[in-house]
Amino acid sequence: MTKETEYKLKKSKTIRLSDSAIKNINYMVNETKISESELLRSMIEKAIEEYRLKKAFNGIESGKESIANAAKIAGLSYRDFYEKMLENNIKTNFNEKAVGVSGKKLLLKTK
Amino acid sequence: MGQSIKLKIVIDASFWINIVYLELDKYLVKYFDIYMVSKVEEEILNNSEHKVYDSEDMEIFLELKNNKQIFIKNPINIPKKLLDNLQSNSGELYTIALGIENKISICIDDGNPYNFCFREGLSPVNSIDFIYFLYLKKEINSKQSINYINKLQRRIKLSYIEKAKKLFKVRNYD
Repeated sequence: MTKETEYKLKKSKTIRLSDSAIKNINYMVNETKISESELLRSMIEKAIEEYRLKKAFNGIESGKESIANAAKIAGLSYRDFYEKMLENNIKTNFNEKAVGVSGKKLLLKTK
Repeated sequence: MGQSIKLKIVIDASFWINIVYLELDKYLVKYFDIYMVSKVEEEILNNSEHKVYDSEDMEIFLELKNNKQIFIKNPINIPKKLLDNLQSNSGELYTIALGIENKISICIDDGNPYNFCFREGLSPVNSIDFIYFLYLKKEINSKQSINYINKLQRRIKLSYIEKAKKLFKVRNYD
């Protein structure tokens, strides 16, 4: 076990699960042939990633977060987050009152 | 005959990515001296562990930077109002600060900082504003303008796109 893995796996959590969840986990362990703890870890980590990404996307769509801040929330680089935005059809939210204003001003500046 | 002096603009990563996607970067070079801050350069070049390939906008950026058509410059001061309202150590923070410091147009395709600039009377330019500018300059006609705007439909909120399209229906520069 590497030092990094030892650090990552330092803390444990105990949770109670329903019978059906236990059955599903056992089924998945048999299907995937990976250990129960590894399977549960990957499922939890994936859920955390999805939660962070969703929160970041909400921030972009509501116009409350910049791309840089949303990328930080998602735990990704600017570019990687921008790619995720495109993959998931997340659209930038501009103030509609601004439509057409700056294009004209830019024209005047270049004259 | 000497070369005419071009207007300076400062652009952020989101604007650059969208303008190259639209293949309008040639017009940026034609009309403007392009400035970027170091943080934006980092964002464009993306040296994260997940990077698998260099995108087209990265390659064009490097080419223009080597040809001295894109200049890297950082602001000397960051106004307190920016620090209070924008993400610390971000491309948009330094981009807007440089724009204010040098009194140059700020080009940004990121909703939150764009709207902040608009509220502050800084006349930010997004890629749709730039398309409109090219239309007013008669570089592109209304049909081409609408085609370019349609290409942004997956990137910009639909209601904004629809409102922008109306700019080309009421004017007749074609």
